Amino acid sequence: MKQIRDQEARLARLLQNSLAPRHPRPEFVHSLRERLARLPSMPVLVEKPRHLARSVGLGILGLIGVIASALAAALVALRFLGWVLTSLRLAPKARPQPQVPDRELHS
Amino acid sequence: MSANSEEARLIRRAKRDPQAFGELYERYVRKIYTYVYYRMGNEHDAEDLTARVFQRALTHIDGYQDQGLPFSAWLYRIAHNLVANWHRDHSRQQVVGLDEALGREVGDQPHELAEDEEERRVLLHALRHLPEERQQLLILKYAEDLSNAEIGEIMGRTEGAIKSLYHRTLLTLRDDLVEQVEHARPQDGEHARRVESRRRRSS
Repeated sequence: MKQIRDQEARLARLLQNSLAPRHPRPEFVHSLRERLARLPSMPVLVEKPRHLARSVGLGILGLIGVIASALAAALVALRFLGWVLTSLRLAPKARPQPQVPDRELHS
Repeated sequence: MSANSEEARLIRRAKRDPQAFGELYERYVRKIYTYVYYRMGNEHDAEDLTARVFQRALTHIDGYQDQGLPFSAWLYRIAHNLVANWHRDHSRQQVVGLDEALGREVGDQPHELAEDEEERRVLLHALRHLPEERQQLLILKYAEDLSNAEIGEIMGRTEGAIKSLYHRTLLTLRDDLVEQVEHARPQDGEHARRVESRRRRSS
């Protein structure tokens, strides 16, 4: 047990030594601050239209989806209605074609 | 005025005034850079992602809501998400990591120092193969010197959960190191012998 505790303590010490705080290059810190100072106008110009375009695109896709679903549902309903009417013999039957004897045809 | 209320005031100002955001930036850039550096393993990517963290923070600070957590927790969360996205997008590319960076630094240093560096290299290699949240925990604890309670605030967990995760992480790391030594043995007998002898000495 003591051995495990010692190992853990040593590992913790090793981590402490290995994960020392890092210092970014001063030029980097400075140039990033300058870039950030120039940035505030950009998000308004770039981010908002992008969000707007995404929303409009998703809206159009959604609308197309709804219309397609409605059409498909209507088609299925009509077919079902036709089947029901046919089953109940309520649908107008197709008038049978008069049978023409072969003789008349040949004469 | 307490540090928290002063920071809250600064954040409110930063929503309108870029100069105030600059103050927040100066306050946290080194911490975020350190975190990103240990997650990425090299300076170039660390700078790139640190810049993206602050750009994103600036563009979203309007929507930032004070929920009683330190502002740094929000920044660390942005950094964590960006690093995770980066690793997901580059998962098929080979990453030039801490190993090579450290390898260059070691150079012709004396034997003992080189041994320490080797041990560090092995440790950081093992660290970067831990699951993301465990890497985050160790970096916040050791590089940022945060308490379990503070880490819990950042990671959205209780102090007890962090303590438990930390303990499990140390055990995993220890086992990984032992495994690395075992694997290194056939290719690099000298290195393995050194690491193992140090491990034995220490235990």
